[in-house]
Amino acid sequence: MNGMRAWAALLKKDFKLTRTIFFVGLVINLLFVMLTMYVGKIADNTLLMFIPLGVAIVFHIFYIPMMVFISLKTEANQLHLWLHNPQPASRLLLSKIVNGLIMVIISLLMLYVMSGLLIEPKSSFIEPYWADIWTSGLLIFPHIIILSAMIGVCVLFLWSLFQFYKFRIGRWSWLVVIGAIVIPNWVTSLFESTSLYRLGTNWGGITYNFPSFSIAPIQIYTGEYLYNFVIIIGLFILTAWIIDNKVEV
Amino acid sequence: MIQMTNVSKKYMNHSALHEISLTLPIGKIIGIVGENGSGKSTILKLISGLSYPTSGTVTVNGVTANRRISKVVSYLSELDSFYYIFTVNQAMDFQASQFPDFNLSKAGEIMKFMQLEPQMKIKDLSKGNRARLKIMLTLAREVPYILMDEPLSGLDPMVRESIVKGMISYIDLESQTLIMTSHEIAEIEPLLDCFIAIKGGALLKMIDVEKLHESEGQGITSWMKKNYV
Repeated sequence: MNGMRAWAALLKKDFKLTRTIFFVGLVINLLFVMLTMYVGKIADNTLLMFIPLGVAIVFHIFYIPMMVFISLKTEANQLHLWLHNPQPASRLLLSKIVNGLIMVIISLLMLYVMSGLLIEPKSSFIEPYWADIWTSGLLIFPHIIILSAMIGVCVLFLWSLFQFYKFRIGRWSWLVVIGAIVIPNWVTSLFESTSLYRLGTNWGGITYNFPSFSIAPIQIYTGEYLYNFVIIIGLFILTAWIIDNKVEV
Repeated sequence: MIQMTNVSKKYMNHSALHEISLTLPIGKIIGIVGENGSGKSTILKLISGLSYPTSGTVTVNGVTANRRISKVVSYLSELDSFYYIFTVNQAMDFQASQFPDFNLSKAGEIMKFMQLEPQMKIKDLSKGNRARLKIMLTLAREVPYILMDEPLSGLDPMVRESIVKGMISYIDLESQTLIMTSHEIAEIEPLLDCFIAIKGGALLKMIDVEKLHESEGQGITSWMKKNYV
């Protein structure tokens, strides 16, 4: 009970640290919706009008990483205040990810509702594409949230690595961060091109068809999700361990 | 009991502490003195688990210190350390939510004593009031070890004496130890049971203040003048 209360207070604090950016983001969403309306007026009855909205949705991939980074930047200014806390680092970090997650869902919901309102008067010309728009929406929205959360965890890891090395090698710690981006990406892409990877992940296939968009069917595998999930959970646990045992003020 | 055994600390090429061994018991008010950069703050960071020794060990109640030693250690940093989004009251509530040992009624008493306005935003507080707030948030925890790094810095010289006296009245010497660093030796000297003198990262002396008076016939300030200048 006490643990839950402590964590809820952390989440509330993390929301307060990032709320200005959150509200600015909602205003930017509104501007994108207005731009979509404007494009809709000058380019009548084409799917082109949804390009600004699409751009706004895709940019949400960077939402959680950005929120996590802003929050961590504030903590870094007074690191002893954040670290001098009996809760395990996993809880401190989870609060930042959940805060970003709640915000990205609200922001995407806002765009979803707004785009629904925009589509309503154009329903006659949207109708032939409707089933595919619905399916692609179901595919895109959760994937943007998942990708955003995954990059958010990567930001946590790189930040903790930077904090760990800054007292040891000073400004060279940036090189470690760059190395921690480049080398694992290179190793991962090598591994993902092997038949071992395909053997381990190509199971539980789901195929998405979009007949009205004239694109090839998209095949995804449950095994790939599990693979990415394990990597992200591992990275999160490693980050928490670094913060609990290695980061200093 | 706090135990430091052969503790050395290096920051890159700079040696901050060298082979320090100390045992600090419960129920004392201990001052750490020394010139700027002598390693006073580093000792407090090591005990609070916010820094790790390059060699040697630091244990608190038999447990190796890491950041989660904050369960039994309350730490006040010499730096301004606040979430400026909070008011005084919100900072108090946040502290109470994170530390089950935070005594809200004691915090309320200290807040009154420190003449802090509960509704004031931290970012609007004067430097002196921010120093008072830090003291309140640290002292209201009922933990065995309270570490204060330069708690008097930022406080008006006219009020330092009364605040120091007030601080001591909120410590239970049956179950708590207060360890503090300060440049204002003369102001804290009458309160200290014991002091640790650090010079160039090494332990120069650790002695009870009474014993110092008996053996050398002088107080900390005059002893320091003799040994540091």
